[in-house]
Amino acid sequence: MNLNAIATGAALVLLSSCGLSVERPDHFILLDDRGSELRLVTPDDAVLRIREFDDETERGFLFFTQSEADLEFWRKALKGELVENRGYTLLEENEIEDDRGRPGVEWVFEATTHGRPWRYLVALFERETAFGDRIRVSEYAAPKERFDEHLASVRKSVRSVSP
Amino acid sequence: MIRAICILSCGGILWGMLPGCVAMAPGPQSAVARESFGGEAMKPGGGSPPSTYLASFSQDDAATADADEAPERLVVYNAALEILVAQIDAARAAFVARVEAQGGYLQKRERETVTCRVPARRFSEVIEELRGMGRVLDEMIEALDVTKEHRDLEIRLGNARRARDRLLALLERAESVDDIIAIEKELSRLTELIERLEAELDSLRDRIAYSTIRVTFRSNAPEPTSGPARQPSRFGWIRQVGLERAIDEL
Repeated sequence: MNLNAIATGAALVLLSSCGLSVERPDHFILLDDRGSELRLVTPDDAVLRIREFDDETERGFLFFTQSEADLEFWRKALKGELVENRGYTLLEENEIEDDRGRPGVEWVFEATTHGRPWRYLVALFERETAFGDRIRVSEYAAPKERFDEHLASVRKSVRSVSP
Repeated sequence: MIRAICILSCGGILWGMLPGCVAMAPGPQSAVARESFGGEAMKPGGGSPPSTYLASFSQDDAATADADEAPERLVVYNAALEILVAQIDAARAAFVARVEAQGGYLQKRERETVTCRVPARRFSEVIEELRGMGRVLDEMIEALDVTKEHRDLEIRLGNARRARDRLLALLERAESVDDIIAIEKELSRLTELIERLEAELDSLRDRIAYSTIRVTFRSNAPEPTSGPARQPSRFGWIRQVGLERAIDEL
């Protein structure tokens, strides 16, 4: 194995392991940055959480991986879980794109928890990396009466997540 | 005249009470079997009590019965069963439908328990079908011999009616207002007694004609809940997503 290949591999590893970054929505502060997870909050109980997960259906090794599941598969799996298992009420479902043109899907749900109604936005993207696909999930939750105050800003922020 | 009414009334009352006392003393004879029938065919109704019912009498009783040329027995049959089934609702509906097909009817329904009345001649048949619906957890079958009770009621009713007829005859001959008032007072009492005895007799005849079967259905299948319609996701990352977690983990 020559040095160029090693250098290229190392660069790719570094790139793919870079932490998430996001355009912070108005009124949110960054509470926690764990690389593959960002947590942001407002003073009025709204929360934004952005995470990336490994694709559990991937097979192969290093550069030769292949995912069994695509975005459509995850879309059905996550929506089914939230609606049929958790009992959330689906209010909206939209096909979206992030700032890099990646396709994604966004849902807005309503559910009662801790004795009050909450609204909950979930955005789902799939990101290809040198070592396989990553699933990016952005979750925004706020008490129902304050959900819309931050919605536009959060949507903009969710599309801006990089890499 | 009033003295005659009093004598007649008292005589009538004493005569009416006599069979009542006889009826009250021994009470209806009964035979009760719990899980001991083992599928043996019963033949409820008038002259053919089930063999287990007969077996519950002593030999002396049997001998006496033979000596009396086996008068027709009037028997009230009751049963209480507990049946283990796969689906309670389906089993309950099937049982009630079967009872109705046999000319019976649903008397009461309470949670897993239904009480039905079936024509006495169909009692054994319905019990047998019920046993086939699931596993019998408990079974009680009771045969109450009400022959004497029925006969006593009929005698008391007949006496009361005859006493009333005699009073009506006296009333036609009564001349003084006091006599008329006394007779009518007694007639009113007797009419009330007759109505009560008639109601008791009707009720007893109904219990003889229709057996009562009380069934409690049990199920070993878990009761349906209003919980999730599907199993939690098999994918770890999906299980980590959710409103509650988003709120709680911050």
